[in-house]
Formats: sequence, structure tokens, C-alpha cells
Amino acid sequence: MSGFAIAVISFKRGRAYLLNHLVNNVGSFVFGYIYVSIWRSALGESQESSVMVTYLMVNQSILWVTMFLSKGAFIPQKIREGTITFDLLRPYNLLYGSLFEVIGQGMYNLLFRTLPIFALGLMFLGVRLPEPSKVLPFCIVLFNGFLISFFLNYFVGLWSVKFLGASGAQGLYYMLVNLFGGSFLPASYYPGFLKRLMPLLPFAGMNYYPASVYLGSIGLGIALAHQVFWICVLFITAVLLTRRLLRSIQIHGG
Amino acid sequence: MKSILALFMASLKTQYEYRLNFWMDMTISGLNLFSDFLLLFFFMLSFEEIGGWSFGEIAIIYSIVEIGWGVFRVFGEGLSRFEELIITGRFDLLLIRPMNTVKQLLLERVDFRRLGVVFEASAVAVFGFIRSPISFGRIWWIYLLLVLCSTIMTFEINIILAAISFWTVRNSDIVVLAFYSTRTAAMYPAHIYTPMLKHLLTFVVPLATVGYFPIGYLTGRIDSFLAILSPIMGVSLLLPVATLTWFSGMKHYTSTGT
Amino acid sequence: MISVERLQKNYTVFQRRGLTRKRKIIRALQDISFTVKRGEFLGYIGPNGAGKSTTIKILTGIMTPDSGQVRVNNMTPYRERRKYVRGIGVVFGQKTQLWWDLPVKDTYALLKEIYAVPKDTFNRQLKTLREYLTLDEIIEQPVRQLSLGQRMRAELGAAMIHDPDILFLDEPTIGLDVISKQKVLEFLKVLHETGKTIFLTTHDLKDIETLCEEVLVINSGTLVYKGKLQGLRDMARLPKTLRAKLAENSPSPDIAINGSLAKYNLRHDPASGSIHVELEGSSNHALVVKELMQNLDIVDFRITDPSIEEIVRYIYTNKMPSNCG
Repeated sequence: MSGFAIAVISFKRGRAYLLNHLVNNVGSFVFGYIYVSIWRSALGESQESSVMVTYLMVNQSILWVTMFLSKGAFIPQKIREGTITFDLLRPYNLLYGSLFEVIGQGMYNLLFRTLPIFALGLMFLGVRLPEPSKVLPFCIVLFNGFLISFFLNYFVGLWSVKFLGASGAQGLYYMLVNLFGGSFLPASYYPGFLKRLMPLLPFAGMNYYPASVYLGSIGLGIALAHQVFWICVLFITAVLLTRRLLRSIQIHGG
Repeated sequence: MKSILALFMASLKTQYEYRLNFWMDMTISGLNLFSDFLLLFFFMLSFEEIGGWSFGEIAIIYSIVEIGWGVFRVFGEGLSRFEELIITGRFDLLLIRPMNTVKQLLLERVDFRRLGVVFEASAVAVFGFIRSPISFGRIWWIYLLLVLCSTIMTFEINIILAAISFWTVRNSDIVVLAFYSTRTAAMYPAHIYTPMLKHLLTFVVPLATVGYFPIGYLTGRIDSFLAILSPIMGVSLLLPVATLTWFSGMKHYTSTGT
Repeated sequence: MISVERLQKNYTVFQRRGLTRKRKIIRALQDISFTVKRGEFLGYIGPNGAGKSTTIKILTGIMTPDSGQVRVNNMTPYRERRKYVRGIGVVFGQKTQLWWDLPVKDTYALLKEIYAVPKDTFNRQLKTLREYLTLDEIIEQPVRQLSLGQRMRAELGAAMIHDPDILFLDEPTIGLDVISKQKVLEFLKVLHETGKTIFLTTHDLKDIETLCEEVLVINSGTLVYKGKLQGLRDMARLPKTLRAKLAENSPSPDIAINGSLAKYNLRHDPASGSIHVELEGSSNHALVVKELMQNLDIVDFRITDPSIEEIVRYIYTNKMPSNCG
């Protein structure tokens, strides 16, 4: 199956830089620690504080399979190097190939970034393990969060094809995910109407819902409803945009 | 001097070519910082203080660190991506020219889009001063001095981190660890961290000295007079370290080859 | 195998002049028609910007022409792209499909899956490729560690994993040293001998000379020539060159050059001790040689055809009428 092979080779590529990534993990951990310190200074030594610590560190760990996936699903890089041509010469669709390439990277990040950072959190910050009944739901919701992130990255990638300059779209992506993803702030802390808006946006599916399901503060049903809705919307948009883009490449040149 | 101007103008012109992209990118780089600050703002709506410091005070030290960072990013693209220059061998091109390598790096690609960060951080500063009991009118010159120190120190730190590439080629992950995380940490009052991190921020990557300590002194939270002197000390002590590291790094690079 | 009829392709580019932006339409391909038979080795040459890349993009299915017909392998490339690409191999001289940080064999394994090559077929093919491209020394190495020549060999291997019948190559020898170039060309020759159809774009006219039966010359979007190499020479009707080497201690030829042999407009190069004369197509070469030998102390001589460079340059600059269409 081509998809699987693409994922495998993408996974292997990550491993070529394992050492660098492990150093980077410590950096991620420190970021988590900063946020934990901020929250702790506000909440003191309370139950809520300990829950927040877990919330924050779970998010820090899963950022590597959600927010920090491939920039633009690797497409801007391929355009810079010219190798995008080959992706157009393959007997499969660009969306399909990109998806599996990102899945490969996601698997790598899961094993070599998410897990180590999470482990550091367990060891040094008192992160709580999930209740056994929450493990499977968390995995499902995390995977969905990954998919949402993939589509958003893919759109950034398509944008760079059209406009030959991804940095704007990439920056916008970071901003939106940062602001509405919920990795620092759960929905209840958002003021006014944002409190209700934030959980409805796709970004929340990347951090807020997975971490909340982990903690048990949001049920699987609600999380799934949100994520499946957005995955469908994003998927259909991705298919349509891909078709349009490929057609325009065909007309205007690779 | 003319050559510096020429390089500067060349950078400016190239970027202005892509006008729409230019304004968009500038806005977006500012917005990114803004999103961080907005999150903090939401947080403070619920919690009024962090480590006993009010939102206004935090905003001020936040802005000091961020303006330094913003100015650095305008000139420091080459330093930020230094490992690329080493990997591709492009650094050699700089060695061939009759101009100081650091100067070249700073002027080669002047990225005006990053000014968005500076504007945004300045807005944060304005906000901070309005919200805090510190009167801008009295200490504006101290504030500017602190911003200057923050800028210089950011350059110094990044020169040292870039120089690491002379030995290890890849340095981006160390940069994340040693700078990005410390910079973020320095935007908040340092006493909320473990003593180890606090000491790191004071003596090793002394970003706490350009914001936390002096502002802490001015608000009366920190007693020691050293606190207000610390930024000057930090910048001065780092200068020889930066110079030494860079030049010995270059020596190592040119003697061992690529 | 390949049939192209009345292909047209225009690009719109925006040019900046001072403060204004002007739209300009570039007619990349104007009414291009040609056919390539199965098993042919075709060379496609032309100056930069002539339309070579555009043609290749259309033939490989990644670009749609504005008008005209393209049929390759009984399919229209851009319409049946996914099915079509399974039967072609593509090599670009300046970009690689190999994964940069990983060993060559990893990319090969990936391609095996993508093109659904059965295990036994793959192993056999790999063995053949390893032999013909001397891949043993490089197959385990990360691509980023390979020299350009090694990379190109690996690249050729990659293009052939699924054993396509048609191979498109866009400047494959660019930047290669002599030995690597040789190896590439030898491989292409072998492929040709096994019946593959090869469409080669190149700037290096020596490649064409060694390998191609037929050449296609394109200039500014129009085909200027299609046919045998020799025909190209005939078309330009540039003179052949006779080079004669004088004996070591022969007397100065200048007297003869300006005297009895004046009609030939000989050129004398004292440094190399040789005489050059241009032979028009119509002249009786044997007669010329005889006369030269009678008047000069010649120890060796050679008659060479005009080089492809000269011919093509002549055609480009003189905008010769096309022999096509």
C-alpha cells in the first residue's frame, strides 16, 4: 500500500535527527514548566492547581502531534526545492501523499517527542496519569486532533503553492492555534462570548478537547461530535481545494 | 559607511517588492506576539496577579524583553538561521568579503516585517504603564535604557548561540532550549520559578536582569540596589563572552574547514 | 508511441517596469507537432526558454496545453494522469526524487510500494540496476552524502524501479564530470537497446551525438527541425573542416598558401603546425586533399563535420525555416 510506505519513509526521516529532537524536548519541557509556574503562582497548592499542571503538560506533549506538525504539510519546502514536481508525477493524489507523509512524521513525533516530554512531566512536575477508562477515548480524540492539524497545515501548504510565500499563512496558523487551541488556557477562562466560541472552533479540537478528555472533564461524545464535524468540513474543503489547485497548476505551469 | 547603507537599502527594496506580502507578514508577526499577550490578558482577568506582580508590571517587563527580541529579529535573520549558513557553506561567502562577519550577518537581510513585533510590544508597554502604578513620565529614560540593554543582550546571546554552530554545525535545538525558553521565562516574574531557573535567568542567560530585576526595584518589590544596576552588568559581562566565543569559533571553523 | 499535434501553450507573465506592471503573453509552444515511435531515442534540444520544459511538463501530464492533442501510450497524459504515470519514468537533472537524509535503498523501497512492483520483480530489477549503474557502493548511503555523479546514478535507478517503457529525462547530465556523464549515457544506451523509448532534453550536444537517432530542435516555441542528425548538418549546410598536420621541419607553407593554394583560403596555425581549410559541400574533397599533398609536406589529415554546437547556433541565429509542419 503506497500510503503505508510513504508513512514509513517519513518516519525514518525523523529518526535521522533524533539527537537534536531529544535536546529540543528539554526545551519543550521548560516551556511547559514556565506555564505551570504561572498557573501555580495563581492557584497555589490546590486540587485545581494539580489538575491544571496535568492539563498544561499533556498539552505541551501533544503539541508535537498537533500544532507543531510539518510546516504546511511539507509542501512549502517541496516548492522551494522544486521537488513538488515529483509529487505531481505520482500515481496518487497530492492530498493522499501529504496525509501519509504527515502521519509518518506524526508517529515519529509521538514516540520521540510526545512521550519523552510527557515522561519528564510525570517525573518532575507531578503530572497525573489518566484514569484507565480515559485512555482509549484520549487516544481517539488525540488522533482526531492530529487530523484537524493536518488539514490546517495542508491548507497552509496549498496557500504557499498559490501565493509562493507561506510565511504569512504559517504565521496566521500559529497565531490561531495558539490563541484558540487551548494549550495554555481552558475554555472556561476565556471571557465573554469567547468562552462559548472557542470550543466551537476547529483549533480547540487540537488541544483543548484531547487534554480535557484525558482529564475526564469533557466526555468522549461531545469531543467526538466537535471533531468529527470539523474533520468532515476540512476534509471536503481539502479535496475541493486540491482539485482546483491541481487544475490551476496544470494550466499555469508547475 | 556607504556600504552599510547600500546593503540596508538593498534589503529594503527587495522586501518592498512584495508589497502585499510585506504588510501581511508584518501584521502577522505582530499578531503572533499579540496572541500570546491576549492569552495572558484573559488569564489575568481571572487572576489579577502572578507571583504578587500586577498585570501592568508584568506587561512592562514583557514588553522590554519582546522589544529587544523584535529589534533583534529585524537584523538578526542571519544569526537566527546561522546553522543553515554553515551547512550550506554560505558562510564562506561572508568570510571572503572585506567586512566584519557579524556586521554582514546583521545587515544582509534586514527584515522589516519583524517590526510588527516591535510595534506590538510597544503597545503592550503602553498598556502596562497605564495599568501599573509606575509613572512613565518619571522613568521613561530608564525604560528606554532597559529596552536598549534588552536589545543588546539579545544580540549577545544569539551571537554566542550562533557561534556554537562553528563547532557543532547544528544548533537550532540548543537555541530553542537556551534562548527561546529563557526568553519566554524572562517575560514573567522570575521568582515564580525554581531557584535553579531563576539563577539561570540571572547569571547564565541574564534576561531577568533587563526586566524583572530593575522593574522589581522600581516598584519596591526588590530591595537590593544591585537590581537596578544588573542590566548594565549583564550586558557588559556578556560582551567579552560573545566576542570571545565568536572569534574563537571562527578560528576553529577556518582551521578545520567545512 | 508519442503523438503530439498542434500543441499550443501560452503563459501570462507580469513584468514590472518602474512603477507599473505590464501583462505579457509568452507563447511558449506554438503549433508543435511530432511523433515518436516506440523504441526511439529522441533528443530534444533548444536554447533556454525555447519551450523544452513546457513540452516535457505536458508530456508527463503535469501541464495542460491550451489547445492541441497529446497521446502517449494511447493515453492523454494530463487527463488520465494517475493511470498514465505508472508507465513512465522521469529524471530531472536539477531536482531529486530521492529522500535527502535517508539511504538510497529507502527511496527504492518506497517506490516499490508506490508503483506496486511485486517483490520478485523488484528484486530482479534492483539486481539489474545495481549492476548497470554500479549502485553497490552507494545504495546504503544517505543521499546527502553522495556526489552529483553518484546521485544521478541513483536517480536513474529510482526512475526505473517500476520498469517503465518510456523515460523522460530533463538535462540529466548537467554539472556532471566526464566519467559520470559517460556512465549515464551508457546506461541510457542499454535501456534503449532493450526497447525503451527515451525522450532526452539536453544542452550537451555531445550526448545527442552519441545516442540519438532522431533530434527535435525547438526555438522560441516552434519546432525548427525534426529528423536525423545528419539531416541537421545538411540543413545548415555548414562546411566541413579539413585539418592537415605539417611535418616537423617542413618549410613555411605561407608561400604555397598565398600562391598556388590561394583559392582554398587556407589558414595556418604555426603553433600546432597545422593547416585548416573549409570544404564546402559541393567541393570535391579528394581533389583538395590531392592538391594539398602535392604542395605541402603533410603527414596527417582529418576531415570533421561541423559540430552540433555550430549547426544549432547557426540555426538559432539565422532563424532558418523549419523543416516541420
